[in-house]
Amino acid sequence: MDILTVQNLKKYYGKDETLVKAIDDISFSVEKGDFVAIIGPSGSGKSTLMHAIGGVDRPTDGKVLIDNQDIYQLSDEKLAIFRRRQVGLIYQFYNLIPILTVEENIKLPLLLDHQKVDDDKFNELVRQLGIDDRLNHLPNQLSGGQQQRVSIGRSLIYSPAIVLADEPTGNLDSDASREIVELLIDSNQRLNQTILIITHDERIAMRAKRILALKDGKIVRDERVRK
Amino acid sequence: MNIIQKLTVRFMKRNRTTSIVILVGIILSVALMMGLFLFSTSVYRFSRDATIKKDGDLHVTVGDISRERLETLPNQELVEKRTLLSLMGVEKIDQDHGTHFIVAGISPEAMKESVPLKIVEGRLPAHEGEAVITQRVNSYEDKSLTVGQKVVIDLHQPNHYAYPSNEYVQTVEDGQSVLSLFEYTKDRDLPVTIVGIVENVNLGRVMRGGVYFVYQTSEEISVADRLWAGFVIKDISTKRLDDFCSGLHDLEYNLLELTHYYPTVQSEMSLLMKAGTYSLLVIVALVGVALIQNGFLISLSRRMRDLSVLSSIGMTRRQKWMMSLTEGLGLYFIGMPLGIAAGFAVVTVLLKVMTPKMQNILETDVTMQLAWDPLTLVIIAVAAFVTLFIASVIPVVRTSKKSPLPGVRLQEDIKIKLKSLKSPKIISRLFGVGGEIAWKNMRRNRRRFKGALVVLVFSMVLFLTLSSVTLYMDISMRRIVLGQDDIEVDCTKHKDSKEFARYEKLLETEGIKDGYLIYALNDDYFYGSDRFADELDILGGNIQVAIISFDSKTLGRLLSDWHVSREDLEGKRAVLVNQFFYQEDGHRRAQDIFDITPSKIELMSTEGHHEVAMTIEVAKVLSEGLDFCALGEYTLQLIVLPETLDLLAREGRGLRVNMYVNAEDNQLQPLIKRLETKIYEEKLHGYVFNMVADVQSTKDLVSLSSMLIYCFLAMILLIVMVNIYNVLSSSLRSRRREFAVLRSVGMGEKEFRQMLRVESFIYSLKVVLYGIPLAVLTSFVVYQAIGVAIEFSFRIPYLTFFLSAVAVTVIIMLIINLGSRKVRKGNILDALKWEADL
Repeated sequence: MDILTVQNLKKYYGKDETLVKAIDDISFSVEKGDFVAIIGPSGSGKSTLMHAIGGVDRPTDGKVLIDNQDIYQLSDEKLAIFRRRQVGLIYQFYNLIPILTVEENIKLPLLLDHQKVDDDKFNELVRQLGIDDRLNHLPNQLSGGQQQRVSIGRSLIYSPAIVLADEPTGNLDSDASREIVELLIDSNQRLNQTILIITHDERIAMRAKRILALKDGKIVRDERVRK
Repeated sequence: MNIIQKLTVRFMKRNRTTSIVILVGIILSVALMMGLFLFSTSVYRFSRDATIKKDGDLHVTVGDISRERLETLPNQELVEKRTLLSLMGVEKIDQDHGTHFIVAGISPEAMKESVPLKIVEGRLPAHEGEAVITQRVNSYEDKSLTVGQKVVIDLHQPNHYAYPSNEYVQTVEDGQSVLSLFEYTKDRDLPVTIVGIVENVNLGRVMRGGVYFVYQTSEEISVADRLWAGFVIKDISTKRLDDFCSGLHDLEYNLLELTHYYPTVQSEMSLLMKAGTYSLLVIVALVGVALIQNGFLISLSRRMRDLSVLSSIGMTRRQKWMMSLTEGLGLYFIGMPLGIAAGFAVVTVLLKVMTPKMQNILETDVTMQLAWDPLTLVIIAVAAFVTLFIASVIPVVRTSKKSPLPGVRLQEDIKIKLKSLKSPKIISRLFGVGGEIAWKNMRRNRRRFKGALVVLVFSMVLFLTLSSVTLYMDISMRRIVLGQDDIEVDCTKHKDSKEFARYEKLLETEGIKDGYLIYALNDDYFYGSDRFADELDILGGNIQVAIISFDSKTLGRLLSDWHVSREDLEGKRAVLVNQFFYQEDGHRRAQDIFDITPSKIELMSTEGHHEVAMTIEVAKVLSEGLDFCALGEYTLQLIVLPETLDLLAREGRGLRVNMYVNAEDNQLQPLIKRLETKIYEEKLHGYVFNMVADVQSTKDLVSLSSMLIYCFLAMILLIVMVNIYNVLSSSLRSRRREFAVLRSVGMGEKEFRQMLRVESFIYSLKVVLYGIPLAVLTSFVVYQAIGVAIEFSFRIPYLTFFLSAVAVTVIIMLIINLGSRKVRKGNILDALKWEADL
């Protein structure tokens, strides 16, 4: 069952001579529970694609269907609500809210949605992430790896349809990177969580189930990884 | 506390400085709004109280109404209180011309509140057969009643109790003004004892002439056939007043001055007060909105990245709005009570300071008290809320439209075009690379600075405009004060010059340093000629003529100076003064009248519908005006012998006598007393005016107005300065990383300061270039409103303009210098890190 369908997606910047085709007519679909690595050189359109899929940046043309919902048919208000329920975003620079504690940062999407937090689920999640002893800390009191774990926690707490991770290890040392990738793989396997990860790191890409390679805004390679 | 409130509180704590600045803005704006309302309401209440104390509490008076009519008046339910005087009759005072004094019965109750009689001498009537007279009775020629005197009033019943003006009475019939002759019927002789003399009363047209107030009981008044009635309208408003007066359309009724002092009654006074208050309120609201809005913008821009992240994880626009509104409301509920309290405190102090001056101006002993009503508080609360709502919503609307992407990607959302960043070569030549960077930065940030620029230009224009207002008030005051003598004695008309000798004795009063008497025809004459100097085109070919003479001593001295003998002026011959005076910018200036002086002057006047002509021969021409003389503004003066005035006076018009004297040191008050006593004892007729007090009261009014204007300006400028500091320093903070880069590549402290100086200079230049022309324009508008009416030429306060331009430059330099101190001295590496600011 396809959880994500991208149809003829285009994202252009500028016009005439300065026209840049960041994404140029891309189509693909992702099954529920898949773990897809998106790779490609700088400027190939990876982040643009991820933001378009995440509903953060409207494309020039094309469709993005998440759980059969064409997200760009939604109003801004509904899209925001859709985002907080169906999409989990993980950034390279963590993008935590510096004035909220670890616990508040993780619970934030649910709180914004006026949803009751399942304490058991929360406790289990933070235990798995290894930050259960840091819940009352502010982000600036954590290491980079710990901040990224909080960011992962925030994206998993509401069990979204899809988690999009934009170079989540790009700002971390090798140990921390490995731990983060394990966490993502674990959530994919144990929770059947669909994950799309952008990475430059071939080793991380090889841990995924499927690799999509981008170049100049087009998919140049789409293959399953043999374990 | 939900997540929105929690986030709001924590954001506010993090941006403490900005939050405090917004809070200060709210407190100052609310305090100013509150102060304006409280002040205007208190001034209103003070004027009303002073008027009630002086003239009574009546709103409407009916000059002459029959008992039957009074009882059947419509809309009586609108009346809160009614005061009646009985119209007993009149005393005829001039058989030839039909003028009269009113004889009115007054009860002790009426004397207490509604018809407060102010004793000049003696006491109020307390028993049957006692009466008081108004000063105007004694001012009439051949009338000189004294306290204790028993008189028999030759009482007549007139056909009308209208205001007597010569032989005619002006009445209203069927809504039309009708002129008719008075008719009198002899009634009876009324013996009374004059127990006091009171000041003239302000009770409508019928009572405008002299009045005998005769003691009567309320019961006696209640059975009188003809009555004077005064009404106090319940919950007075324009509509209620109109409704009540609609039932009086066929009667002689008057709205008293007191009605002007109710905000609910539409009058020039209330319109002026409202227009003034609301204009200032709009200014405060605009400045307040600018400050609070900029504060919110800064606050939001500092958390832009956080908002973007929140947006990317699903915070809706509504939730962002709610966050901003929660912040606004939080600050509102802290700031509003503090602002209201500050407004109360400031106005309480202000009223205490102002009371003596205001009492002096209005000649009252009523104290200025803080006046307010719950409605005012509600209006302030709503106005402050609207101000805050607008100020907090605009930034959030702007920011919520932005894409969250630049925020989450840690990119600044600035679109720069290379073309727009080209700097003029002169900038780099004059100020080096620092100047060039400064210029480019100004170009890049011009949208961000636009708000602050508008506020600065606005405050500069406001300051200069109000400076012009104080300048014009000062000029008009100096115009009034200029050449003023200490005391003027204004004597009523006299039949001929034989009485002048009696008035000249007044000049011998002890305590007079110098002085003179002017005798003049009690007539208006004009002279039309095509021989006036070119500069006199403004007069339209006609000039007013004053035919005057002086007391014998002054005239003798003048004739001797002019080498003119009395014989030269015998008959209808005069000395022509070929210069008149006018006022310009507070200075008395002279202007020649004729290029070639005529030998005869043909004068014109009107008598009813007929023209009256008179010829005077010119015996001597004076090339220079009489600089000591109070007369002479825009007037052609012809100086004649006193007896010539008798020859020229028209039947029944008589002559005027005015005395102008200066008192010896510390003799002003004793001299006034002595002159009043002498006038009374010598049975002369005249009023003594203390011109020094008048001048002082004018000066007080001007200084008070200036003080209030500058207080208001100071508050506004304070808000503006806080705003500008907030905008400029936050702008400098946001460029922290950029400055760190410049420093890391070797920009020294000197170049850095140079760059900031150029920025300050360009910024100030912009403010001055927009501000000065606009201020000239608004000053001209103010001049059109004030200056033209009191005849002086348009004048720009150049020094103030120059100083304000310098002040703007210095203030901007100081703010930029102060705001950049931390940035200049901070750690480069910290600033270079993306998240160093968090």
